[in-house]
This record gives sequence, structure tokens and C-alpha cells, in this order.
Amino acid sequence: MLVQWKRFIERVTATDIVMWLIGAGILTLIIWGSAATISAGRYTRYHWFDFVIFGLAQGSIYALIAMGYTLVYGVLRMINFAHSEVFMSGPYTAYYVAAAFYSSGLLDRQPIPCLVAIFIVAMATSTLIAFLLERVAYRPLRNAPRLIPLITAIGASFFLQYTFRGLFGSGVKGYPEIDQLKGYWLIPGTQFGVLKTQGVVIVAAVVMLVGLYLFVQRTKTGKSLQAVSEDKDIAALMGIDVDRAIVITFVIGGALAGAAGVLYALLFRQVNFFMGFFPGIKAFTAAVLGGIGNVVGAMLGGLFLGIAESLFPNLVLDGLGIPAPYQLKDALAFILLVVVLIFRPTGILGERLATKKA
Amino acid sequence: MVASAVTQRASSQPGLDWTSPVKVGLLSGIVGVYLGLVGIIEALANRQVIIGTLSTGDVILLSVFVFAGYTAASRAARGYDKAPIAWCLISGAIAGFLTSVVLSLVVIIGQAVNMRTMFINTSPTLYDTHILG
Repeated sequence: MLVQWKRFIERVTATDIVMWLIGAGILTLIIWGSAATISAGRYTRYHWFDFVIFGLAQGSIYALIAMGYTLVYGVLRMINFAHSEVFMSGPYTAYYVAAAFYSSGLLDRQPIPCLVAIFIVAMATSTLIAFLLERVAYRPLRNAPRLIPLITAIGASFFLQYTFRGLFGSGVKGYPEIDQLKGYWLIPGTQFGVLKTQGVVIVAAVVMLVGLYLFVQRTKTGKSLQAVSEDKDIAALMGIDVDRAIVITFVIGGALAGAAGVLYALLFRQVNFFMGFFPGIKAFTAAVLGGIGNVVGAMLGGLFLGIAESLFPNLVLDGLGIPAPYQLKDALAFILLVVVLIFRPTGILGERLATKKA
Repeated sequence: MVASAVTQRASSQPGLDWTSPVKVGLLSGIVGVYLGLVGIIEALANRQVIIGTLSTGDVILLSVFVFAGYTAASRAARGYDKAPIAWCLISGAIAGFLTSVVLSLVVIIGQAVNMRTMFINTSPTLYDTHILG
């Protein structure tokens, strides 16, 4: 034991000590701020419950978007920065379907079939955009140095953003409100209420995430995706169509992003050509937080980030005396990304252990 | 010797590929539609190259046709020792024709359905540019 300690102390560098001090400082601030907020009693348990539920709803959306990042990274070892625009394209196109249903009164008379139709349109659009991205922008660069597809992804992101701006205009479009989703659901036996839209978002997202997990783990196609992400060449030798597997990955990521977009529109009720930027960055943070390339990690990372973003400003920053703490919630995601990359670059569940770039 | 020359000539002539000019024509049509729908053609429609006759928007649209014809013709000449001029011209014509079909469809649909509620740049100016009128 003493020998192990001695070896450990010999390996410690000045950088390690500085990093520990920074980490300890951050932890101290978090504990101090939290204690100050709780002892001040500014927020009731109903407030905290609302923050948690909103965080879960938001985090579910981040988790769905993060699936696209993590799946593509798993098979191609590439960050698809255009995925945020895949997320935007679905609900932006489906807005016109929603508006048509609303103006005809069908949205309030038959909300479920209308929502299903909106989801289908959004997911189909996002899937098509993701498929075209893979086919046009990424497949020709499959064997190029890693920086080239990265730059292409950024270029594709701008291209898609401004294409949608040109097609549909730069204004913000308001998603119609559904009458049946107004108000709260009360949890039986308690006085806690969940906003109906938030409840729908959480349940829908969980169903899709569980479905994806089962698909990847239990189906033949899912296992082929895992095989391609482990080693593309060996997978090809085993008879797996690698191109098809990669296309399926993009299609799944696109479909989930489209669904996430509709859930985002239900929650925030606004779409515009730039709406994908911040959720995309945060979903990327969530994917890194959970372990890029790890499906379960991306889910957990998304939920954690959503809850942290909802709770942290009021729980910690308010207690530290920082004015208007909720305005710093976006900064929180980026700070968390930096902190995760410094202290735990493999993420919560660790990066997948494929040795070669797919 | 004659047999080998014939074999060599036969192997150097890849045959007529009808799908290539069709693909080029349809893709160029989509590009032309894209340029119109995102507003590039309309934005430049007021800048005159030849006043009263040709605008920059017209030039951009015509360049799509030129690109379609050139691409189809150059693909048609691929694989031949001596480019078959007739086939290259026919390929270019097919590609250009299909490009115009796609653009015409947009005009026809636009006349029947008000697309401007969704695509903000589908204005009468755009349709006039598409039909070069």
C-alpha cells in the first residue's frame, strides 16, 4: 500500500496539482452556491420539481439529437456538425403542415393523427437531408484525412442553414398551440403537476430512445452497425454491406433529430432557420459528456445536461449572488464541455473502444 | 491483324449510355430550381447585363443549361479515342431539355398552386425568368 502511494506521488506533476485545485474550486463553488440557495429558501419544492421536469424534457430533446452525433461518430469517427441543421430542417418544414392543420381546425379536433402526420413529415424531411448529406458531402471523402470531412461538415451546416433561410425566410415561425396539451397533469396523491407538453416530450423521447437501444442491441441491422463501428474492414469481410450500414446510421440519426425537432417545437413553439445551432452544440456536449460513440452514454449525457441546465442557474449561481443567472444557462453547456474534456475526456461511460477509424 | 484492329476499336468504344444525360439533366434542373427557390435568381434579376434584354438572373439560369449540356457532352465523350460529335450533341440536348422540363414543371405548379405561402421567393418575377420572358 505504501509502495503504491509512493509510486502515485512520484507520478504526480504540477499540472495535476493545478487541475485538482481547479476541480476542488469548482466543487466548492457548487456546494457553497447550492447551500446558500437552499438556506435562503427562495424556491419552494414545487419550483424545484418544475425545474427538474423541464430539465428532463429539455434533456430528452438533447439526448435524441445526441444520438445522431454519437452514432455517426461510432461508424465514421467523424463529428457531423451539420446534424444541427438536420434537426432544424424537420420541424421547420413540418411547420407548414401544422399551420394548415391549425387553420382548418383539425389540429384541435383530431390532435393525435395531426401530431403523427407532423412527426412523419418532420422525420421524413430530416431523414432525407441526412441521407443526402451522407451521399453528397461525406461519402466521397470517406478515405480523406480527418480534417477534410470536418470542414465539409461545417460547410454543409452553413449551406443548409442559409438554404432554409432562402427557402422559407429569416423570420421566426410560431408553432400552433394544441388545446388538449394546455395545462397540467397532476401526479396522483400529490400536489405536483407536470405541464402536459413537457410530459408528452419526456414520454415520446423515452419511447424513442428505448426503441433505438433495442434496435441497436437486439436486431441484426443494429448488430451490423456495431460491427461496422468496431472495425469496418473486418465487418466487410464478414459480409456486412458497410455503405448500407453507414446510410442506415445517418437515416436513424436524421429520423430521431426530426422527431426531436417537433418535440422542441411543441415545447418552445418557435422555429427559425437558426434554431439548430444551440441545441446542436448542447447535444454534442451531451454526446461527449456521456462518451462519444456510446449510445447509452449519449442518452444519459443528454438527460444530465438538460437537468443541469435547468437546475444549475437557480441552484448554484443564484446562491453565489450572480444576477439574472438563467441568462447564463447556455454558457453552462459550453463550460461543461470544457470541464468534461479536461477532467474526463472519455465521458461518463467512456468512449467506444474501436481501434480504427471506420 | 484486321480482327485485332476491330477488337481494339470495339473495346475502345464503350457504347451509348442513355442514363448519364438523363441524370445530368434532372440534377441540373434541381439545381436550377434550387437557385430560384432560395432567391438567387430573383435577387439578381434587376441587375442588367444587356439592358432590357438580359439580366444577371437570366445569365445564372442560362449557365445552368450550359453546365448541363457541357457535363453531359463531356461524359458522353468519355472512353472514346475520338469523341463522337453527334452523340455528344445529342447528350447535351437531352440534358438541356430535361433541365428545361424540370424548370417548366415549377412554373406550371406555381401557376396552379400558390407556393409563395411556403417558398417566399416563388414570385411572378421568378416565373418570368424561368420562361425567359
